[in-house]
Parts: sequence; C-alpha cells; structure tokens
Amino acid sequence: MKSERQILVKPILTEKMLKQQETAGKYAFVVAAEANKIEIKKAVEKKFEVTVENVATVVVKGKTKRMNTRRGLTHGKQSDWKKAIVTLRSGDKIDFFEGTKSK
Amino acid sequence: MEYQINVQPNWHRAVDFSVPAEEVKPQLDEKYALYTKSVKLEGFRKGRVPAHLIKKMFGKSIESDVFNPYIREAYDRLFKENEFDFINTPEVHNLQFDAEKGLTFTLHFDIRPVFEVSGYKGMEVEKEVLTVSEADVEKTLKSLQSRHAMVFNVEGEAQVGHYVVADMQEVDHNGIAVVGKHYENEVVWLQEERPEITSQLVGVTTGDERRLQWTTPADAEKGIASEEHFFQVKVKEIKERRLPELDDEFAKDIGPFTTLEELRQDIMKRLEAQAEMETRSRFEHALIDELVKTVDIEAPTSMVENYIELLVSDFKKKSKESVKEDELRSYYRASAVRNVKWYLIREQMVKQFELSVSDEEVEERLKSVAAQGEEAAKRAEEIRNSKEQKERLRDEMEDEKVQAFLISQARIKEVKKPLYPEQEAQA
Repeated sequence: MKSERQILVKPILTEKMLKQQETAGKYAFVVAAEANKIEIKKAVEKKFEVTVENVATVVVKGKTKRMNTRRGLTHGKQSDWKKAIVTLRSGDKIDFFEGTKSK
Repeated sequence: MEYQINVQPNWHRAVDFSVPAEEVKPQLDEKYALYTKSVKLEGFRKGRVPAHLIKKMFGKSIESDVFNPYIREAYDRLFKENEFDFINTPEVHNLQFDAEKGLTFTLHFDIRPVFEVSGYKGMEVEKEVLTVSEADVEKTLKSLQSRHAMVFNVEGEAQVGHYVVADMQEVDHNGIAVVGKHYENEVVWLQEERPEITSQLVGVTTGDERRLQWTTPADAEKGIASEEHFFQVKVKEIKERRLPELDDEFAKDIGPFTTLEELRQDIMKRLEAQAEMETRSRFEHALIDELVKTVDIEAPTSMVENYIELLVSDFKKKSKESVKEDELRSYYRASAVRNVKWYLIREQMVKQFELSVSDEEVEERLKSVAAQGEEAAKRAEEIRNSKEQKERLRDEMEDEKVQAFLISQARIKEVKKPLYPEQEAQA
C-alpha cells in the first residue's frame, strides 16, 4: 500500500477552502490520481490523527494550451489532477503548519 | 528595557532581558497589518489572506524584524553600562514574546577570568634530571653495529640464525599446487623463537626442495580455527648477517672519527644533549602542571570548547583515520582544560609581575642572534621584518621570563633518572 505521503500531494489553501474549513470542517487536498476514497480517508486519518466522515473527489481536467511559435500553432494540455474534499467529524481540526506527524 | 545579570560558575554570565508588552505589541501589530495588506499568496486575493495564516507562514521573519533591534540595543546597553571583558560572542537564548509578559530573552556569554596568581611561592616541583650512563652508550653502539651489518651468502647447510631465500608454492594435502599462491624470493629467517618453521628448514642447502608444513594459530576472537598449510619450498640462496667488529675501522666507517673511543665520546655527547633537552622539557611541563594545580581557577567553557574544536579540526586535517569525534573530544578535554588554564595564568602573571617583553628587549635579542654569524644574521633580519615572527619571538621570550620567575620562586627537588629507563636504547 502507498504511504500517506504518496497519496496526499499537498493541501489546497484558498480563500474558499479556508471558509469551508471554518464553517463545515472540510479540507481539500491535491491527491494522487490513482488514489481512491478509502485510501484518502485512511491517509488523512493517519497523518493528521482525525476522524474522516466523508470524502468527495473530483478529477480536475487540465487546461488545453495553445501557443503560437515560429513553427506555427502548437497544442498542449496541462495534466489532469485529482482533488479530494474531506469532511471531518465536527470538532476535529487540521493545522497544516504544525499538526503533521513527520514521517 | 530592563535586565538582570545572573552570575554563573565557570565565568559564565546569563543576562535576562525583558521589554514590556506595551512597547513591543503595537510595533508587531503594525508590521502584521502591513504584511497582510501587501502579501501575495496563491489562492487568495491581495489583502484577503487571514491574519492567522500570515502569522503561521511569515511569523518568524516578521517577529525577528521587530525583535532584532531590541537585541541589538540589549548588546549595546549591556556593554556600555557594564565593564565586561567578554571572550565569546553572546548567544541569545529563550527568545519569547507573550502578550502579558512582553518580550523576554537571555544573553549567554563567558567573561575573561579575573584572578590573582598566588601559591607559586615555595611551590614544590620535582625536576627529573635525566642521566646518561656508559651502558646507554654501549647500547647505542650495539644498535649502530647491527645497522651496519653486512649480508653474505653461505655455502653449505643452513643453520639457526641464517636467512633462507626461496620460491614457495602452496600445495594442498595431495601435493597439488594451489593456483595463485606462488611466492618468489621469500625470505625466511630461521629464528629460534619460531621452532616449528626453523626446525623444518635447518640443514637445507642451495637448490634443495622441501615440503613445509605450517599450522596457522586459531584466533578465538575473530572466530578463525587453526588451519594446516603446505608449501613446496625451493631454496635459492642461504644468507647470513655478519656484524662488523667494534674497532677503530668501524668508527672510521661511521663518520669522521679516527678511533672507537672518539665515536664513544661523540655518542656520549649526543646522548647528554638529548638528556638535557628532555630534562628541560619535562621540567617545564612539570612546572606548568604544578602551577595549574596550585592556582585555583576554572577554565571558561567557551575557551575550552574552542580549543578542543581547534585540536579536533587539526587532527582531522592531519590524519586520514576515521575516529569518532566524541571520543576524540573527550580524549582532548583534559589537556585542553590544562592548556587554557595555563594560558590564562601566564597572561595574568605577565600583567601581575610585569614580565612583558618590550620592543627594545626583542631588538637586543635579535642583535645577539645576529652576532652569531652570517647565517644567523640573515635569520634575525627575517624575523625583524616579519610581524608574525617577531610576535612569536616575543612570546618565546615572555615564556622564558615567566619560567625564570617561577623557577626563582619554586622549591625544586631534583630526582635523577636514567635517560632510557628500560632496555630500549636507540641512537
């Protein structure tokens, strides 16, 4: 099985997610594309010592990019990535700056 | 800003500083507000990053921006208002900010020990006077003789004490050669101390072939069992070392001597010079050891640590061996403490008894050196022109003065000892 470090790539810290953290106890992560909800739940519970009630995932499609170069128009695509929004049991909290168990 | 000086043992000082919260808090808040307005962070619009996030992400650097001027002020005030002769850079410990207690931190540093050198009067020091005996001369002569031994080929059978030069091939139990175990021109000394080999080779003549059996000893520590080895030995040469006669001829071969008696006298002279040098250095050492024991001071930790650091890095540079650094440190500690103490005592003695060496004295010494000859004059000129070398000379002269002073005050007990206490005479 993958370690939590391989599953949880990084937390998503935005104005929107901060609000969600405070009001609904929801935390978002960039996760490995191949990770499933069960793995994500276990990883978050182990790493931050909290109880996860729900995991919602979404594959964010990468943007297609077009660029004019000397050789003409080239096409590219940014990678897709998976976002997981984790709902914690009410009262549980994650502190991204301190509360991690370093492995 | 208030502070309190805590005197700690080993010339250590810890100074607690405190700045009231009312003074620091507004500055801190202002700085945070400024940061909140200007900081750009991915995922947030400008100015919309929450304060707690700013504190977590940039708190350390914002705080140090605010606190550092206070630390600088602390340094300034501490050394303006007190006469500290500090020997290491003060270190900041326990830097904390509390909304109630305000800003608190502690500066740690060592100061130069202040003490008087006493107890040197009538200090008892044992002086080991090393003596050279006729026996030492004989021993040196013997080792010279053995070093000038000549090697001759021997016709006939090998005896105990001879050297057998042979090609050796290791073979197994059935007498079949082991590949890669062929040794050419091996020299075997037929020693009485190794009878198991000697007995097998005594009586061989050049051209002989023999099967040699040899059991390697078991080593219980390394878990190696004893093992039998067989060698097919083909004798190529038998040699013998002959010692030269100890006579006038021998003396002439060794050097510019005409008789053996002259050589003996020369050896005596050299040994005596060596004994004198050794006597002096041992006495210096004993004198310092005794003084360090007598004068009751503690060596400041920072000085000792610095000294050990120096020794360790020096050792690392010189030696390629990998030694555990902790072991090295504890090994050097005792001598580092002694040397630091001696350094401090010496410095204090120079001050206390006015033993410093003036420029005129250095110049005088240089003149007297220059008077010894052309070579010495050149050397003196070199020292005169180099600041570093001049300082070193001044140091040496100061050492001499300090020592002369100590010797004049101490009670010296002379003990005669042979130069070479055991039978290990060397030329």
